[in-house]
Amino acid sequence: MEKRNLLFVLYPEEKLDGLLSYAIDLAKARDEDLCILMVNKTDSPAEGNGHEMAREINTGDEKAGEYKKSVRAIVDECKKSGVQVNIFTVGADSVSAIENFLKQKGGIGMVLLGPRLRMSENITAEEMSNLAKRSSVHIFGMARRPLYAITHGKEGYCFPSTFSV
Amino acid sequence: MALKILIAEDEAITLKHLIYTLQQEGYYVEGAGDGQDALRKIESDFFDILIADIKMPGLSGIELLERIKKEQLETEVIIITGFGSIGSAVEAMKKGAYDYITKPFDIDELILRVKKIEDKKILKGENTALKALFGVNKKISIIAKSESMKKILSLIENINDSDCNVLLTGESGVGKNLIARMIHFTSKRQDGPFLAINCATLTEEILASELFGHKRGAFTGAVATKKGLAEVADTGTLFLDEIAEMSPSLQAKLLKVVEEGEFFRVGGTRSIKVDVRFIAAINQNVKSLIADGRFREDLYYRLNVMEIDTPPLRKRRKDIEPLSRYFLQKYLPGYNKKIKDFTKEAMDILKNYSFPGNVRELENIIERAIILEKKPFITSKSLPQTIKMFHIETIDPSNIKTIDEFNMEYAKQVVEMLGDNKTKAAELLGISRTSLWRILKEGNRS
Ligand SMILES: Nc1ncnc2c1ncn2[C@@H]1O[C@H](COP(=O)(O)OP(=O)(O)O)[C@@H](O)[C@H]1O
Repeated sequence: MEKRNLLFVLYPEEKLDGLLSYAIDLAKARDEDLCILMVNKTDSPAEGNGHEMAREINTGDEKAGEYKKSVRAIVDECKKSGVQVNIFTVGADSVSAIENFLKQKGGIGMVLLGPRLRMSENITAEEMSNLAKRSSVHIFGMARRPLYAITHGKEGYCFPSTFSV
Repeated sequence: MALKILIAEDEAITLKHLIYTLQQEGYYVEGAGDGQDALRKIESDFFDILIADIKMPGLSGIELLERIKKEQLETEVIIITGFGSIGSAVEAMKKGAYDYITKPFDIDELILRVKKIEDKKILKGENTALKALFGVNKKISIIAKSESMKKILSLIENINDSDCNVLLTGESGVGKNLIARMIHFTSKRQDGPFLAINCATLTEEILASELFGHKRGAFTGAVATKKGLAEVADTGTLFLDEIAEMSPSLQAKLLKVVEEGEFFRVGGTRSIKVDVRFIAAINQNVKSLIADGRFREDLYYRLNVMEIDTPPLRKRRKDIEPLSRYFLQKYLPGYNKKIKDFTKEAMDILKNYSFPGNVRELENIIERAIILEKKPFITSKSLPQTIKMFHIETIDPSNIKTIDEFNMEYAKQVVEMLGDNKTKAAELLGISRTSLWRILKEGNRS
């Protein structure tokens, strides 16, 4: 039987440094495979009606469209670490797009939202928490630690005590 | 018992080095200088793991892999590939290799992979479970410094003379398996068997036959009558992990066993009576599983006579430090290193991380750190870079405000660190200036 998947939701333009290896390590620790949902930023919330179905990006396909570069980087990094990955794309960054995806694709063990999506302008905190309420799996959001983000990888990080849950 | 490993490698120096290192790790290791030699050894002896170079004169690593799969041996295969030959590595994975490693490789990486297989083998041995755990593994340590874990331990103590079914809830990796064992081995049934099965990893047919057994001829492949776990667990405890992954029809069948202690083997006509205590675990949100119709409500009520909810590790941070020390002591003997403790900096990082993978994730992080650490203390350098880079939080459905607050606090810190440069802050956060402004303002409102 197939392993469960860790669903990682990302904007295609998200800088991948560190993000992907984090998701891979976590998936390994949880004995899950990776499933990545790339959501396109919509300019007005009305455009993303959320009824759109996600489509799978054929990772073997050389012409994977505008995601070509990031998709190839993702596939390579996953292959290197022995984690299976499936990549999907959907046309709207709305909560319902994520929710539809969870319905469309079973076997998701947890959801991880990339830092940019986590602070998306098109998803309100209320919508986000409603998503968590309706979903049977746990949803986690990522944020870059400010100092680390600013120094870009130089040794140095901070512990914002206000962030602890 | 130490795992038996066969290494097939035609480069003599690499072979010698691998044998030596893995022996140092406590494994029983044999070497083969080429594919033919390896095949002879596989045919005459059983090995838990084969580590094989993909390129060897005579017989290649892939051909060895194919032989192992054809004979349906339970040997796991790790393939060593040359630099830049991802293609052949992928081919090996497709053919059923457990993993691959690219030359030149880090020996620690290889050791990690071997350990993974070892863990898997141990787990699998319990899951197929026909070697019942009569009385073994009685010594169970549960680290509990936080109030919530202490409460759970005293609860377990309080129910040690009760025989009620128990439902364990909590995210994956919080320790439900461990708690199930503890409940069994402190109960009146401790001399009976403890059997565990993970309902998420088996297909419906296999799960049905594992649980209830089958009659000879019940389906193709049922060459002999086989007892199911429910029968083997008689007078003991059956632990059903991830029970909500069970199909509705199996849940119905299980309900009958839980209610009446009676069931039929697959294809059987005679009803079998057993005396089994059930402990079940769920790592998802029970209420929404019931609402979605994925978990039967009647079964839920039968199982949760007692419900124990184990909080995620990030909600009981007091446990992080003692757990880290415990895992350090647990894994140290396997690595022949002298590490005394953690540096304060390393411990601070651990204490401030959110562990979405809970205790299991912490355990992995510590074991990895032991492998990588060269100093007599675990330093922050041997902790994964990523846990220093990111803050992970749960999206909490019960508290919308925290999400806004979180965003505000976070945005504020970024703005502050950039000397009040909002344009730069917005850029860094990947949002527009307007939304940054909204986030800062809305935070103020709440
Ligand atoms: N309180 C604890 N003390 C010691 N080890 C623990 C504790 N909680 C969890 N572990 C260890 O963490 C790992 C994951 O625990 P497990 O019981 O498998 O979690 P779950 O069943 O909830 O997924 C196991 O190796 C377990 O031994």
